[in-house]
Amino acid sequence: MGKDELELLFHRYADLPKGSWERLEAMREAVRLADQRRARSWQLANRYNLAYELAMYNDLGQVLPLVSEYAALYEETPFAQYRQCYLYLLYLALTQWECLPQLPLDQRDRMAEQFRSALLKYRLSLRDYHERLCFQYVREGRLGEAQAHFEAAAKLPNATIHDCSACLQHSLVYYAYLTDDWPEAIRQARPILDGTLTCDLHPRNTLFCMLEMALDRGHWGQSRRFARELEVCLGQGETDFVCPLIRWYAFSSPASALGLLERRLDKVWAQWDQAQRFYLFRAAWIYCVQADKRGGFLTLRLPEDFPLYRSDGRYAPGELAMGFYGMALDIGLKFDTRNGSPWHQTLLQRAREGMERMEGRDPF
Amino acid sequence: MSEAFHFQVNLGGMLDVLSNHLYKSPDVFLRELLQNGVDAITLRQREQPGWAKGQITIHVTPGKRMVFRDNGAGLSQEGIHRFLAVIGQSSKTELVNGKIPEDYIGRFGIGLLSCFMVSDTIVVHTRPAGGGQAHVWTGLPDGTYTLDPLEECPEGTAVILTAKPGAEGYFQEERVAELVRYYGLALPVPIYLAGNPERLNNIPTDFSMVSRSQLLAFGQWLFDEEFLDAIPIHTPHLRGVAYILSYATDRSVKSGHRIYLKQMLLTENGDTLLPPWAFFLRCFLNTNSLRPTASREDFYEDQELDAARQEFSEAVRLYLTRLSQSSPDRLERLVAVHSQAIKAMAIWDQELFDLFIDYLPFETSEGTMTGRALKSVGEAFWVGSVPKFKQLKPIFMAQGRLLICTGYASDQELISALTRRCRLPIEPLREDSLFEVMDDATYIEEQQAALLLRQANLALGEFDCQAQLRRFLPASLPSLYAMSDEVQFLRQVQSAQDISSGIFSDALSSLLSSVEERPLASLYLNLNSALVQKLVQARRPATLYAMAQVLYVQALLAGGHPLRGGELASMNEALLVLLDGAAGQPD
Repeated sequence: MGKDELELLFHRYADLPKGSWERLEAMREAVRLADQRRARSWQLANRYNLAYELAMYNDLGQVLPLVSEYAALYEETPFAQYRQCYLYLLYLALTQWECLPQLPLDQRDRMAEQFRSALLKYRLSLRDYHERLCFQYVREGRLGEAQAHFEAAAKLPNATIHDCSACLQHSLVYYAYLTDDWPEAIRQARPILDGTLTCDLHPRNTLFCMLEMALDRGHWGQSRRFARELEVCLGQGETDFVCPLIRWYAFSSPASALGLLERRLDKVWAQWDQAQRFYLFRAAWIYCVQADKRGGFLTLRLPEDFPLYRSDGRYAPGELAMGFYGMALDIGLKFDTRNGSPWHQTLLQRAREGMERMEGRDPF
Repeated sequence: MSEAFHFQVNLGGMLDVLSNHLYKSPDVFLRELLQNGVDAITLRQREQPGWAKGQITIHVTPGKRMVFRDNGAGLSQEGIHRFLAVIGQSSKTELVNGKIPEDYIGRFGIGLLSCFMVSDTIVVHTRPAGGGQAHVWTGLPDGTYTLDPLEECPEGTAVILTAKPGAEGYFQEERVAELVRYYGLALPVPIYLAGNPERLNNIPTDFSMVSRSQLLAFGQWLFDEEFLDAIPIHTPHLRGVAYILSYATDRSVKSGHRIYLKQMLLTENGDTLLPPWAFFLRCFLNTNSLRPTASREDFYEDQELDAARQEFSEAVRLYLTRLSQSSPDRLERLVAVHSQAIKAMAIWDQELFDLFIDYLPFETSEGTMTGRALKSVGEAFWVGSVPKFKQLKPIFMAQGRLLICTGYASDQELISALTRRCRLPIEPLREDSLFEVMDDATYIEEQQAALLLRQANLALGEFDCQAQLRRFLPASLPSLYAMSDEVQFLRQVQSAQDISSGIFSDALSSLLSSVEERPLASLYLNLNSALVQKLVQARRPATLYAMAQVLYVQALLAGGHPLRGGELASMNEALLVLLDGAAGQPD
């Protein structure tokens, strides 16, 4: 089997459905074979592709070993053609502190410095560095420092990683979302929501933020609007970005919420990315509380190692609500303890307040 | 108002660039001469409808001189100044209805300059076919030229080249004939060597009217090899033949096609025109409607090229469809030789999938099976890794269950598609599926093996692996390693930590230390194996400890799992312990 077989393997996995188990297995096989053949460019390319695949479609919390290996290989062969991938992976490494609460913050600071040094070394924009730290500092309650990084990012017209206009605009929306600044979020989201600025990630990401904020405020009309737009954007069968839709359906279409919850839980249950699990458990809690108010039992498919698992699939929604809330709180506390800030607990509180405002309202 | 200046051009330098750096080889000078000659004849045919006596004659004085003569339209004095002496000005760029007429080959106005690669002067004798004064034009590589009236000159154009040192090889009749056949085989204008009545370029103009045996004979003559079959190609953009190679090949091997533009050879490389799966074909094709690049050595990427590619794929597909009905045995032979290429086609083409799936071979625990056989086999599993397949194959064989290897390119997609379309009970093999092929040990057997299991778990603890007793076939397989996705990820974290440093190593450490209860991989010890049965009886803990490590590493290697740093070292130490034990210590 020679290098041409590696190229065939690449074409094989490139054609498989994104996020599928087969595609991931094929990519892992490609990494293994490239290592066996010591084909450096394929060792790097396959690792990058696998990391990207995991980050975008599967489990962001699993990319750290791939990034580490890539970095080690890149240090041996720091050729220009690998540079952009290396920088993107350093950026992904920095996002790990948003999904893995077990990583201490002092290591985050060192990773951020590594990213920053690499950008400076190659004379590239520091915008992504500033933005990422800004977002993380908000979660850590370091609002002054977050604002400083936000302003530093805003002064830089271009980014190295997310350099499209829609992504740059969304970062303004995202900051408003994190700081719970509804009027600013509406204002900054306008060019994305009216279609002026689009890319692969937007308006999907933006709609996610806007729907979350509308639900937190109990805004029926806005929630309905953003939910419909997000539904259209995601299409059938999508299981990413659906947590705010589960929260909305909890009030407007409980049957839809149930199906979506099951599919999302299938995907997220075994993930290492604790942020995704937090958002899902929070949404599931809201749904179960509403289901409990409607009365009766819920029939749904849960993982066998779910704490309240029943083989008959019948659950008391109140009990499930407590279970999901407990799991969300457990994750939130892990993040907040590390970060020294009650940010995740605040998110739970906002969701509760939003739910109370939404209750009893006519969804249509 | 700003003063206007003209670009300063070093004409000699530009001639050097055009002549010696644009083209890949000096050979192309003959192609350019053929191109100009054919275009001149075409022009005369347009101007004099009914005139059909066009021909090109080449006179060679070996090693010295060449006269390339056509009886086409010729050039007037004005035409000479306009077209021969202005780089980029072609007589063939005048538009007809907004397009360059299809039957002109040249278009860029630089072809004649290629002659400076083999000759220090270019002399052109020309007389317009419609009547008028003849002229002699002499061009020099320093960018100067002379123009004088000429008394004796037949209608048409003669280009006279004088071999420059090192280029004498091009001024030989055999070489000229070879190049004419290479570049001009498909040209509609007869080409002769002076004094020889045999036409150098003589092939069928319409391949769809030629019998299969004649096509194969032509292919053998052209490419000097035998082919399995010949596919006539007759589409709006393409005419010619696609020959099916009689041996399996690989897409990295260049097949040496002959692809012509307006009957002039453009390229031997099919990468631009042909689809990627066409590497089992060798093609002789002509197109009149695709655009060439400036160097005329490949096609310009545009919608017409896309359309041509689609047409080619469709033509091959249709032919193979008809073959399945008219000569299924020939199709089987073809599939037997070219299964890889066909598999690559069948992934993206539904009709080809339906046509070929019954014939395509797949590796299974029961040997090679075709898609047709898999349709009726009942329950089966597939595994996407060749080493894993080889590890598990004996188990499945021994138990009479079917395991399909989809580790080869295209197989996984084809098996998935086959499963979906025919609703077959074929599933991917996951760790929990392994229990389908293993039986639990009894309580008594577990008790009897307590010492073995205790020592094995001690030995394997550092590798996050637990030993378990099972029964499975074949008995010759003493152990099998299996791990869940979570274990796989943690192994990867540990492997990454082995080669990482600095912040990456520290972050990975944090990740590992945060796992409260580390999930364990499993090493299944086969109670049916004589080796394991002996180990159950053994009483020396050190031996059992060492043997567990050996079986562990052996199972890892058999499953194609990369070894971590300490694992190989552990096996070496274990072997030493066993050797010491064998040197006189009773068990």
